[in-house]
Amino acid sequence: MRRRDFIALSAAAAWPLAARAQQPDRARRIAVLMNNAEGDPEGQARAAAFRQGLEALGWTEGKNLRIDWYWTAGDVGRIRSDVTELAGRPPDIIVTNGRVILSEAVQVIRSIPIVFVLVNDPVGQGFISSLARPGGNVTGFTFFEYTMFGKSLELLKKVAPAVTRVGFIFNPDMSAYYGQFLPAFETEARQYSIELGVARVGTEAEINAAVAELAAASGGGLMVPPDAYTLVHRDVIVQSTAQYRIPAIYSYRQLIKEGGLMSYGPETSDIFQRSASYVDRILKGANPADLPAQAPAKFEFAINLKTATSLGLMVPPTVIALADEVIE
Amino acid sequence: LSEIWFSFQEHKASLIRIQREQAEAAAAKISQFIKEIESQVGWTTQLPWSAGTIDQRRFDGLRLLRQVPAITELSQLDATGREQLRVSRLAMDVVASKADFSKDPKFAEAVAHKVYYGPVYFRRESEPYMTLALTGTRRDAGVSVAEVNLKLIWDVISQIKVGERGQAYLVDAQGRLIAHPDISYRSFPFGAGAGGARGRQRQRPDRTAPGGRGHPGAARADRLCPRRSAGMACLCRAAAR
Repeated sequence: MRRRDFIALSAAAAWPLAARAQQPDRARRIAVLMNNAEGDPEGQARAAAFRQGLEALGWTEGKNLRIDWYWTAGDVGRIRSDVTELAGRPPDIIVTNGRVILSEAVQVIRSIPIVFVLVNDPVGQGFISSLARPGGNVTGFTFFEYTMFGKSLELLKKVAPAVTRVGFIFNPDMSAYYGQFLPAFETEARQYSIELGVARVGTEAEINAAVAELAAASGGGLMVPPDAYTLVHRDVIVQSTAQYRIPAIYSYRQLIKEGGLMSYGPETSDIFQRSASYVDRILKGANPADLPAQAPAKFEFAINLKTATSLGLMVPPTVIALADEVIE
Repeated sequence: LSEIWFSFQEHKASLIRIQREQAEAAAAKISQFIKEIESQVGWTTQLPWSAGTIDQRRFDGLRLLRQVPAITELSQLDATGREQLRVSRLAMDVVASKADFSKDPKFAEAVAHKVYYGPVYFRRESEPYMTLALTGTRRDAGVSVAEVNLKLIWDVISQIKVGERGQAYLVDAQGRLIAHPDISYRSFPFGAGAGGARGRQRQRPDRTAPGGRGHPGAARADRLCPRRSAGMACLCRAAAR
């Protein structure tokens, strides 16, 4: 009921940007909703990059900018209550990290500018009308393109040539949209003689069961696409793959520092840093409808040789030479 | 890019010299950026085509991507213009697709002129890209075709300060805007008849380039940057107020 009231109110209100842009010398307020838990080093690195981007543009947290951080840890209930709270006392801009938070935010927030960060396929998912011209109160920075999962499989196969069955693991409550792309992923995987299966998980027990199942026959491997649930519960995946000796490729470099075998994907800190430029632009009066949604510009491949050795994998020098980060 | 030209429109005579130095520095940065890419791509055009070289080429291609963040994709065409290899940051490698590019400018122009710079295009509507194609010194080496993400040039441009409130931006040989500190300017499909883009192009600096002793003005930049010489012009303007 409260939500609906708010939508009605905000629909009636005129676009507030121009008016806001003209108010001088007021400390501006933005809210940032993060996918991670507060102590998560990946989340902290993202936040630091974001602050750094803002600093470079003259915005200092605590001085001329107030940033309210919401560390949602991928908890949908918490995301909903945070979004409702923000609707009640709207900041100048809401920055959302990942698909789940954006999806909750756009249902409630219709007039406050939203800058999303690390969202796959925002047009296909209906968040914006086009990348060049987002059209509404939402714009931002995309993350994976689906063809990149083929690239990840290719890298996994180079490091672990014996892999013939790969589990594509995600939480259907967080990332149900992967389902429609699975046939395409399966076709790509067959080029490398890999059978792609899907592991839908929502509990730690299900993660362990999925990894155990891959280990039940030879040739098992795991692919961990971006997903709010598996990001938050990544320690379980890393432990489980170590226990069952399953080669796995992740989407975030941070995972390699935590014992994961390898990762491939866009550089998350770079994307967060870039997102500060849109916060700056919008605070200065730009309309998000006119700011093109941007794709990642930097990609990174990282590998942990210690983990490789413990899995009995000999990583070829030609693969090591291609890595942006190697943990020995 | 063989040459980078620039010009200014100054509004405070005393700033001219400083602005010119800044413009020169900007032009040098961009020139260096492109030259670097060109020379790195050049390394992939050394081998002749034979069955034994494909693994080496694949490794060279992937290593090129590792070394040059601005290159998103590299494809290699053999001496007859058929694609033998494509490596990308965004997708699986493709070996021997044999797709025929013999009539495509990226092959034909590169063979005729050693190097080819394609027009700016927008990948997935919003990402500015340019095709850069190079031939090797050997006739049988074929052509290497790199898809270059111009956003990383935009990063260079956006850091350039001209005078107190001035800015630098980059246009291609057709006078289309490639990079501008105001990123929303990039969103226009230049040349596709977008009124906004044309309107903004009219805001380019005066072409008289006062104080530009020895520095070609924008008019010359436009004229002197035919497509096959891959002209890009770095235009720097001082603040109007």
